[in-house]
Amino acid sequence: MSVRPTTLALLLFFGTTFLFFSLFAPRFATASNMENLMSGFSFLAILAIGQSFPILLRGIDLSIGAIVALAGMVAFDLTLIFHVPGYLVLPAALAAATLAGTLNGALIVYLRLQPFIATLATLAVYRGLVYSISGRQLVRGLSTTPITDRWITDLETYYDLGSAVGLSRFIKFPWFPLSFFVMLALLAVFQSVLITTRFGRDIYAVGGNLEAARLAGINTRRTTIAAYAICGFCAGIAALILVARLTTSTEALGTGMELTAIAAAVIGGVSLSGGVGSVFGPAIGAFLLGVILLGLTLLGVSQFVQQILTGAILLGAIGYDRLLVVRRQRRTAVFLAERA
Amino acid sequence: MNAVFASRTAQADEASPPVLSVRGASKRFGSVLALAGIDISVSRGEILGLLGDNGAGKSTLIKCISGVHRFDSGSIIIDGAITTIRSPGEARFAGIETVYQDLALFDNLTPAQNFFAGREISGPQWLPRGLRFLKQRRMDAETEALLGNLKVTLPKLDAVVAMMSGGQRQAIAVARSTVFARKVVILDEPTAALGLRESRQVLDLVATLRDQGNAVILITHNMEHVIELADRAVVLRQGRKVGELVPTKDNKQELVSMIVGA
Ligand SMILES: Nc1ncnc2c1ncn2[C@@H]1O[C@H](COP(=O)(O)OP(=O)(O)OP(=O)(O)O)[C@@H](O)[C@H]1O
Ligand SMILES: [Mg+2]
Repeated sequence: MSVRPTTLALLLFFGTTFLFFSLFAPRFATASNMENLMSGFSFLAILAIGQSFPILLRGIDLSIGAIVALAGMVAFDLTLIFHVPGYLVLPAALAAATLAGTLNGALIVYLRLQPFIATLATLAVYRGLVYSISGRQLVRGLSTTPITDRWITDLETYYDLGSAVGLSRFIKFPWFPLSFFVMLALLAVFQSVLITTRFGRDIYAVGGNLEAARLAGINTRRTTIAAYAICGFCAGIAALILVARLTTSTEALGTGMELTAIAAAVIGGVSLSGGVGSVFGPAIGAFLLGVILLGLTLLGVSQFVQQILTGAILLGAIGYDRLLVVRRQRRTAVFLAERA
Repeated sequence: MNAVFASRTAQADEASPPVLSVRGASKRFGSVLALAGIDISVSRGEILGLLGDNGAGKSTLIKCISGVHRFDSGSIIIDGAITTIRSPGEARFAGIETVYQDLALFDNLTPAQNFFAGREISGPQWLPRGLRFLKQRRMDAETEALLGNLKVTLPKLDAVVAMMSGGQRQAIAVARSTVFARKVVILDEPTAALGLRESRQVLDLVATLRDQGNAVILITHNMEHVIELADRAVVLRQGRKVGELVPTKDNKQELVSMIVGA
């Protein structure tokens, strides 16, 4: 696959950026800043991993921010209004998120909607649903009640691996958040699904040439729905991590995260024109964004400038992707012209 | 070699019963009558040329046979039994392989991945289909061996096909059908706009398909290719079958006037 040179370039860019901030940003290369990086961007990496599936199919999911809020509010309501035990709340919230993703896929497949349009619509629907089921509005006083169920709050745990392996005697070693390991597990699972299984190959086939995939007897509808379901599932995981951290949920949870996740995926080498990339790159892409944002903050660059820079990075990544696509299309155009 | 590549010996017996026949096929697209009561049949080890001007209905006919479209009326008979084909998957299952006019290749995949798209060698069998692990090395090896047998040379086997020339791509598409063909192979203008050398390579592949014992339906606008390869030719005009003959150098003119209707 043509993924490798891009991944290598990405890793190199990541390393260079990291080195740059380590040298020039005060307190960048410290244990506590690394903790910030891991805890602040693992859930974003998870969102980016999920977002890769629709993009690999030449689609997009704009609704994941709203799905984050939906899963968060389901967890909030079940815990605080209905006093459901945490070990049931977790699967219920994940199921709600996965269902929302599945619905996105079903709309795209059965109503033949453009993914952009379909998920823009469900973005509004899911966000509206969050407001209408919000326990903060429905029950007086709940908005200030924290979630204390250990099943949920324990997701926000840090592990002192440095002491465990004896490294702490030499340097101050960051504590690793559980969300980082959750991210690693999802990365390992979905990367191997993509690369080593038939479902993964179907994703690349459908993303590369939908019509040819149909002619090859691949169940393109099921593949598409599954991709959006995975995206929803990942949004659910991210939501639980956020709820555990905040010990509450809000109607606005996840707002705008879809754009950051798309940015991370595209920076990570997933082509917006489908069929090219994997989930490893997007995870790196998320942490690359994290390094840049944290580094700029430590350098004293204002939030607004950072937003502009994030946008510029996204534009750069999309521009580079387009360049590759145009080059590929030119080849095909030449070829078709020969045939005509 | 394993079962995938097992080739049958040709039985190009004139009297052998047709492996595929189509009876009374009609198809309408809105107000366009694309096919009006077509009958064709083809036997093992035989190449049937399907001729006709642009828009005559050739692609429509073969798309109905390979499950992309469905006839409005008419029947498909495979090995003597009436068969319903509702999807490309069912056509493949019935032993019909198709190389489509608009090149159904995956630009983002390698030749081996293209070959096995939708029917990868994978296991273990007890897992649900989607979760079975790909046996990529085996698929690569088999593709390499097959391309070698067919004398198709590609610069790099692990490059995606977007990087390859028109002839190489077409050779991959045709070679793919030789892997899986069990009864019938349909080729829709496989040499359109290929250079001389590349056309030759594809035509040789078509002959190989026939020699393996397949029934081949070849659509082309090139009279030389029809005369060289086809055992019989059927001519369509505006959705109707207007003639059927054995193409030779001597009746080339007759064939051309059938096609244009002069
Ligand atoms: N999907 C479709 N929808 C509507 N009309 C169609 C469709 N496919 C084919 N047609 C029409 O049916 C007729 C036959 O088309 P077909 O593609 O079978 O021709 P053809 O013989 O393959 O021509 P060519 O040599 O140009 O490939 C044409 O009038 C075409 O416009
Ligand atoms: Mg045609």
